[in-house]
Amino acid sequence: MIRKQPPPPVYDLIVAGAGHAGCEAAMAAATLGLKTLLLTINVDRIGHLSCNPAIGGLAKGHMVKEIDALGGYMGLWSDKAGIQFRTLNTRKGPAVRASRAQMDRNEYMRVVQKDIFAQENLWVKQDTAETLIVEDGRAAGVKTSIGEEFKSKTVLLTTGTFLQGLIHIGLENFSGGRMGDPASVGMSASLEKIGLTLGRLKTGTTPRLLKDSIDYDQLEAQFGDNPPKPFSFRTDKIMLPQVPCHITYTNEKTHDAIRTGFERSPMFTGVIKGTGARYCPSIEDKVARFPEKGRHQIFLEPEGLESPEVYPSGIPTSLPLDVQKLMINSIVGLEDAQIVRPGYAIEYDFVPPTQLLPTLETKALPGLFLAGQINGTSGYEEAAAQGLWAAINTFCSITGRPPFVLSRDQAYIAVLVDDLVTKGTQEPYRMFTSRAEYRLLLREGNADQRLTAIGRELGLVGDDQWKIYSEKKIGLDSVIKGLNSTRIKPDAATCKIISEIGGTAPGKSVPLATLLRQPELTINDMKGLWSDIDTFTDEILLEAETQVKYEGYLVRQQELVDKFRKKESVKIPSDVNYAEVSGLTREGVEKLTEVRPLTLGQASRISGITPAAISSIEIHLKKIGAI
Amino acid sequence: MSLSSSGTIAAIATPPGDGGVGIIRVCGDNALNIANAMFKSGKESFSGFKRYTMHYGTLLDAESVELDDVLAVFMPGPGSYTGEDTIEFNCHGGRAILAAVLGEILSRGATLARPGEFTLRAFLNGKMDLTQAEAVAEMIHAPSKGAAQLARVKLSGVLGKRIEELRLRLEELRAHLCVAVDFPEDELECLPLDKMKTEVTDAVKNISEILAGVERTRAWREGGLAVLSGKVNAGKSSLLNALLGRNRAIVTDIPGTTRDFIEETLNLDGLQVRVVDTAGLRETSDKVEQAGLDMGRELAQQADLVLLIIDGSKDFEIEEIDPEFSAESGKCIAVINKTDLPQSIPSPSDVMAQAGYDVVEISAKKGQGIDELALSIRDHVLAGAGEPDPDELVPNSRQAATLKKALSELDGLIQDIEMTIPYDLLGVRLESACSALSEITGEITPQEILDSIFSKFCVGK
Repeated sequence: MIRKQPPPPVYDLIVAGAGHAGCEAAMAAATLGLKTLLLTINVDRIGHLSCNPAIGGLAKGHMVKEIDALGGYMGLWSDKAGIQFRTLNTRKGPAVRASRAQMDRNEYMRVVQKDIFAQENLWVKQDTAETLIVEDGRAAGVKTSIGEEFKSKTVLLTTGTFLQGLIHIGLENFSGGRMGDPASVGMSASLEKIGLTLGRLKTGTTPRLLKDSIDYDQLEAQFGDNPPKPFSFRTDKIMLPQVPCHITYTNEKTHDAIRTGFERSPMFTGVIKGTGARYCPSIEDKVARFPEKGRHQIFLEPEGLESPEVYPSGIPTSLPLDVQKLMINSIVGLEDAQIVRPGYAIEYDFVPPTQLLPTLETKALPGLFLAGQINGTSGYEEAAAQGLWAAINTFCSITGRPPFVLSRDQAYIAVLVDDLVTKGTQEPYRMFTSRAEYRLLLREGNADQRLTAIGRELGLVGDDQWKIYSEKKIGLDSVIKGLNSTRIKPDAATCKIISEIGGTAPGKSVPLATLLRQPELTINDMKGLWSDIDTFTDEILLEAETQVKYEGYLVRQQELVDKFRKKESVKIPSDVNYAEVSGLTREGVEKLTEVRPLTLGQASRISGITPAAISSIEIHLKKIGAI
Repeated sequence: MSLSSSGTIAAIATPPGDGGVGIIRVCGDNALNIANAMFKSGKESFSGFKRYTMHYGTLLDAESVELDDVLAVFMPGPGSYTGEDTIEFNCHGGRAILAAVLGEILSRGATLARPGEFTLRAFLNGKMDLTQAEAVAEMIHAPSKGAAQLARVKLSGVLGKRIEELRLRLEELRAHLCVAVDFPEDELECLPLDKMKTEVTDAVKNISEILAGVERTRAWREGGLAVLSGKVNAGKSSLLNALLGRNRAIVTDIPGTTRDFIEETLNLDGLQVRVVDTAGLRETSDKVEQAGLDMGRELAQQADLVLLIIDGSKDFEIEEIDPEFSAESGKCIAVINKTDLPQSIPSPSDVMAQAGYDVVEISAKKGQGIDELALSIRDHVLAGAGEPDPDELVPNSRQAATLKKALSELDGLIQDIEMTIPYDLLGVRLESACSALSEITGEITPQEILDSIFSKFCVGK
């Protein structure tokens, strides 16, 4: 008996692009029962980490956990392919602790491909989507570069950097979607034809070095946490051996070498037109903008356990290859390092995302959804998050469910999508904790508590995950209850314990929770006072500690959320004619008409929309009886 | 809130308090009908309201009782302020008269306009541009962001610069916190906590200075509150009338006549002082009166100045004075009334002077000593504030409230820093403080913070 059924004549969803947005989307859609086709330019590169061999980091780790909590895959795949795990910001506060892991690049692709090909309802084909098929004003499929036609109810484009991709090394440039893979040349025209406006962005990557040509004896090693903490709430244990990264620095000699290449830099000479990200500047950009900085840090990241290559993170560049060599060989430990693949910059088309609804469906063509770098973001995690979001929304759209739109106080993913569709972006958009107003509530540790029930309701969260979630919730509740109900009396024995753990003995009998709120005490310090603690996992204890110790701050933030939600609950009908709203400027009318916000809250976040304009809209809505 | 423009609304359009003329505005479809029904022209030849013409006449209630002699003007829509038919009656300024006229208009089907509703109608009827619409936003949403935007427009000069500087410095702290948190792997020195504490302490000092200016000039901007306190029939109402120079309160010889508060505003050489006549202090079984007395005590506690009215012709003992209003409290003036009558022995005036009170002798009935008392009131309310400095820009009361909120957040932040709580939690107070300030200076968006980071720090890999 064959395991995989033949594909249907009409798919529910076609996903074009098998990077991190595409893979997450395809898995989610198929899990939800949508007959899904995943199209990729190169089957061997499904799930490829095109830039750093690392996943997670500040706010990004948060999103990986959120994807996982909703039943997505990035966390699971990272855990299977991870070769070094670290928790960042352990001392900077409970909300900004973030997980980051180094990946074995090939292993990551292997585990992704294994799941993709095994997934029920999901078919994979190597072909390039070139043209959208439009029927009755809706997206109805794609035509490919070799002339095949695939029909579907919805289409999701997750094309990454491939749309009209142009690769730059020095003043040389050539077409490509990624080094080694062709660009997609037809789709941009098809998007413009349906009325979307395109923009141009730029990103860059570093030269890859030959591992055996690096002198590690001179370099400081950086190891991961032991034991490694997985991303996924579902992962029990990290299986792959763990390896270190190494740290080195650029120096004045390096900077001099870089400066000799300025006149052949495609960025400085204006050859590159696209906008690059300020938080991911090329090394030539850093040297030009911060000449007073004597050195820049470089992490030498292993490309994999068996890989002969190393990724020197921190020096993305599009300088000519001879300058790249000069620069690399001026660095301690890299004096004899050989470049296997040159660093390069890539320019690509994107769709300024204010043309999208909060479901990531285009306003121009119903049934067409976009996710990932095509929406102006950067980063694997940002892409995967959008892929998941868009896939859920195709499911909602096909099954007649209400749109899946989380609120900014529920998830970083929601902050990401809301920022994109409301404010648009001028540069590749990356998530930061500072973008989330309610970041104290959006912790890695409570991602499951925030989102798993939602994923379960959608049908993404399977029984195993639901069981893990439910058990953790019970544990969490009992620890918090225990901390609040277990009272300690300041007798001699107790006072001795408290002073040993560095706390201050209370004057009267208090619950453990009160003691835990002393700044210098942690939940582990409570062990001597409450033996039950040993029966709970560290994961549960850490989350309980956060909820109890910082309760006051969390309550304050929750109050702000309640205020925010009020404005968020005022819905704006989609057919409001902003030209009829008295008191709006022409610019205001244009912006509102472009973004078409769903709520008054969203309208208020559009740049340039003043509080007065919001009042005008509110009055108009009352006038027309919409609220 | 109903925003239908079809209803007819009415309100007293002039500020409450002392004024020779009070204007009542009626606006809406039914305004002209109501006016026609109430207005009896002084001219035989009157044949209905002419647009933009002053008509002299009398307003009558439903029983044809004369309410007031008025000047009436009709402004038809859409040429009026609101864009709708509008009638304005120029009445005599007394509160009772205005209340009676307004009551009659309301009984004829108009509804009482809510604050800002005339302007709101003007806006809805397209009589206003965006700048003016912002004022509407302020009225509807104050003290929300709308008010903030308006404040930003209004805010200018020295004060604006000073608050903007504060905001920038706090924003810089936010940027430092963000960098520390969002770029943990970059080689960036975190802002040390003691440096942060210094910065916040300095911001606290700055805000406190601005707020001190508010306190200093409060009397000038907001005026003072003086409360008349004294035994029943000591002559409080007569004194108020004497100060106002005309009859307002119901003055009789029956003790306990004044039950409600009577509030009037005195203009003492440029200084506004609200004078409240409380119910006479005496034990009473009348519940209404008792409630009035309680409120009177409460008001007296809030007042800048309490005028202790003592009948000089009656026997008096110092124990009669509520200990709360001791001479040491510094907020009392002993006003010995009825000095036109033979004074009791020992004279209450001497008793009070010996107890350390400032004493002013008057006869409310004869109008003696009133000017001297007025001067004394003015000096007390100003209490060393001095004459106004035209160059000093101080925040208005809403801005001051906002600054106080920011101040309390920053005070909390200093405590948080001392407790060495983690960076992300420090952000909570700092952001609340910034968000309070942004109500004055305008919103600080996360994008601005990020812009600040990228311009100052070399971050990213």
